[in-house]
Amino acid sequence: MTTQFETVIGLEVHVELKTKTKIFCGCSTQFGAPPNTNVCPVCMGHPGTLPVLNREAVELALKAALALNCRINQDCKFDRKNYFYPDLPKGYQISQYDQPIGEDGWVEIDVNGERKRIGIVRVHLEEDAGKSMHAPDGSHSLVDYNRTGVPLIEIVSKPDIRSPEEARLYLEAIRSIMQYCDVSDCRMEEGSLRCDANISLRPVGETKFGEKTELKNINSFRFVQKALEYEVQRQTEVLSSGGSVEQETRRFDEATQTTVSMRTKEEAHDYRYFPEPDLVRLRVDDAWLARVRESLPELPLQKRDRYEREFNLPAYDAGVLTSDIGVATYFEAVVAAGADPKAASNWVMTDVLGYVNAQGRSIQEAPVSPAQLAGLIAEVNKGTISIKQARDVFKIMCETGKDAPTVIREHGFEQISDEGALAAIIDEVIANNPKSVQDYLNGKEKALGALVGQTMKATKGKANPAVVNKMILERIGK
Amino acid sequence: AGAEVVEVSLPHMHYAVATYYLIAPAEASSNLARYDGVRYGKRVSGDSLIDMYERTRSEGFGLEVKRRIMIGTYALSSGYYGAYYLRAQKMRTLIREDYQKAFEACDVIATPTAPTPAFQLGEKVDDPLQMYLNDIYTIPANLAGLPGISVPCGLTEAGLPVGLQLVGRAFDEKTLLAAAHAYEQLRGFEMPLPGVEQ
Repeated sequence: MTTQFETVIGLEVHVELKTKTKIFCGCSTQFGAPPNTNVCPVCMGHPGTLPVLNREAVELALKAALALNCRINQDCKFDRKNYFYPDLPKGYQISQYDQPIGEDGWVEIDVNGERKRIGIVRVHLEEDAGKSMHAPDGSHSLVDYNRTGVPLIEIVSKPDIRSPEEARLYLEAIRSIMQYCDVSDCRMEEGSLRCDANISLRPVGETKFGEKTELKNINSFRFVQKALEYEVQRQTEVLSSGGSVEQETRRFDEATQTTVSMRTKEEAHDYRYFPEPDLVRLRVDDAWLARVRESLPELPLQKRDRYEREFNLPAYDAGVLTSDIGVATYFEAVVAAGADPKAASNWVMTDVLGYVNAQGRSIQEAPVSPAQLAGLIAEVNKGTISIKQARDVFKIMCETGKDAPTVIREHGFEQISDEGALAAIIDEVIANNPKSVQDYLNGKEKALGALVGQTMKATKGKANPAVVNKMILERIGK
Repeated sequence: AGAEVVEVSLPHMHYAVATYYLIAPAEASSNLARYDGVRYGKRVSGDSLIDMYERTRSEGFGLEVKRRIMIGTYALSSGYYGAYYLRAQKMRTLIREDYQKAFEACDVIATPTAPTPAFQLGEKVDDPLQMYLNDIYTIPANLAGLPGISVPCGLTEAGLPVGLQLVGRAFDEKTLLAAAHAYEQLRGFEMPLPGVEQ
């Protein structure tokens, strides 16, 4: 009998805090600036410079830790993590070692319809390093120090994750929560969210952990899942053939979609951690903590549950609408403007998101405002236009920025619901389509649709389908 | 000048040099890591990154600096941190507490500035420990974060100057400087300038 293995995964996520300036100096944190323009003697590690802690960085770290249900260490400190690398100007990174700002938290995810809690060991503050670019021929490397000193929080999960899919869900939950709290943009492609994974296997029922592999260089959520899936397969093969997994660091290779060994345990660094002598201890008083707690928004999962409860939305809708705070805010505004939640949900998920996604823009840049969308939905409810017409109206609203009533009026979209106006056309359609009429009378329900379709065609889509349906039935008798 | 002389005890003082020469080199080993030839200063080319680091720092640092970096790195190393750096920091706390207690009984603490008069240039340079032992009176104030001042107070028979060190409470430079000034006025000591005919 072959041994069944259980997958054990822990994730370390680095999140860049969206402060205006760096954690220990006044340089801008703006992404995309020309290389080495957002630098100063402090973040370049020039002789004689000293760090000064950015209060906003602490505020955002507290917010994040609270949102992740951590216990806050109101008296904590910074430590030096010492190692040599060109992207680390001081030769040490100011981080937190044994007294992190937050500990013992958790995050909930929905896996296979079940709600599961993933534990969080710690959340700590640290400074980012620079960005290296290595010439392919190995002749030289370039370093951009714009990123050096940008504040980060590192979020370390407990090894509670049991599958590559759960890992992806956990990451999505973290991103969502950070966005909701306005702590970070969490864009992996910009590097404001980075993830390293630790994975090991053990025989089902075993409580001891197996030998783990650390995975680095994973640049998208999709690749996180892929890299982990590859590792599960690789480690299963090793263990099944009687071998043992080596504790090592592997990098994910996007080209081959495999993981490749980077270094073994023996070459690991001794970071010689010691308390940062240039910074006093960080003390967060009760009043500050209370203010940060007050400032927490309704979190993604809470919002999702509320949408299901208060708006009667299906789980799928609630999930899509709350996955991004911008979308949720937009949706809530549409409902606040009077629209039915389910209708609003459909329009936001399909039409609004469809439009902005195709343009590669965010919902905040949508050309149709929530109030305008609510106005469009109202016109459909009133029967002024059909749903099908509404889609066309929406497109025009996007292009012109005008509201629904204006577009409807200017383009003559008003639905024809007046029976008098339709009578002649319907009579003609019935006369011209005897086969369809006969098919319907013989029991083919779908033939009615054909007649309605012909009427819609004859009225260029402006006839009210419900009225047409009724009038045809009145005439052909069933 | 109205000063009263009392004896105070600083029981952990004989650990001060050892304490300092663990903490200061440890922090220096970290502070000096930025001199890596990457962004500024001297760079000696090598055939790899590590080679460049090693050549640059070997040629760029003098003997005493290298000595302290090595002591400091050792004191922070995995397996040794607890026995050396951490223990030294704890001893530092005891030294600070010695002073706090002493300052309940006085306002300024007087000691010699150095254990011996000046020795010849280069005389002890090959014996680092001997060199470090010159600091036994001045180091404790550094560890405790206290202000100190050295005032000339006389000459040895051989004509070498002797200093009197005064150490005050933290941020109490006012009292310290006043005491030093009063001593200077009272002592009326004229320091002969070297090489000048008397």
